[in-house]
Amino acid sequence: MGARSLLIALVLVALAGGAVAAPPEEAIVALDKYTTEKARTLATTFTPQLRQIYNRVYHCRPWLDVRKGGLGFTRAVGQPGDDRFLNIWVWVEQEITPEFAGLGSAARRASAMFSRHGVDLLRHLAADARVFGDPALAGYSVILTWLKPDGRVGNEETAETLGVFADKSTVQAFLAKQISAREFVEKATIVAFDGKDRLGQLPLEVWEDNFATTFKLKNYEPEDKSLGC
Amino acid sequence: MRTGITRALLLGGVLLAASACATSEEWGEWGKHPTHFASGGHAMFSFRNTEGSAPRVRRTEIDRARAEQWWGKVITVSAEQIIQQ
Repeated sequence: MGARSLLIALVLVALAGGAVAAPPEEAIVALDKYTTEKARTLATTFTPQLRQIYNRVYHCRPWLDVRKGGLGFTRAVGQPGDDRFLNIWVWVEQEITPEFAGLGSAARRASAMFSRHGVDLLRHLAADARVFGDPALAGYSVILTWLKPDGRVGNEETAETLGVFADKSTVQAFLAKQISAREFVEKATIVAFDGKDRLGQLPLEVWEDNFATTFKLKNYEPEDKSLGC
Repeated sequence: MRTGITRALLLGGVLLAASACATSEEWGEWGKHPTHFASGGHAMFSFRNTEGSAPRVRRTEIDRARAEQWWGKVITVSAEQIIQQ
């Protein structure tokens, strides 16, 4: 294929363009960035687990890009105390299809995104029993960012962001289907943004979506076979 | 090259046609079609692999392609608005 035709193909899919995955040394929060000893201790203790989560998302979910400083033991802004959540923040790389644009509202798009990617990422975060069992860990959080349909402002696109924070017992019960999605949402702290603007209470819905575990990117082959993607 | 350009234009046509057919009932369609929003990269790789080379795409190639196609700024929330380290 000539370079020109490849360029045309790239332009055609440019609507899907977003951030590029940060390398692990940038995606995983550096130890000296933590503001409390509790967080630093968690991050030190579970450095291999953080790297494992990064690798699994990077290689097994190539449509997701962990953003810089997006993986670590952080806390939610505005929450009192020092409750630490194992957090992952990803950019969802996707085409803005008519189906996605047709969802119509920020709440529906956020629901679709969380159902498809958020629940899957919670499974990645909660997979390690040692991390779960550490009394210093309060919970898990997933933050998803994606391009907003028809969100172009001048030369810039607008991104939407959803953050879901939940205590670890709630996450475990939800993933084990011991509580309903509605109960999970009621117990979780949910934040959403349109660009930089905080949205009000978002009526998040969560439903079954097996995209993450069944979709295969055509011709894609993970470099690391040991991850069992 | 001409064949490549033709295929690229055809791909664009398909995308535009799909857009033109959009309705407001996609909410119900979501669950029926689990691949509705995959990475746009799959189109590029399908396209590239028609040239007869080994059909194998690595994550690093995806990153490189995204870096090349990314050209603009995004209005988005800063980390300090959601999490504290």
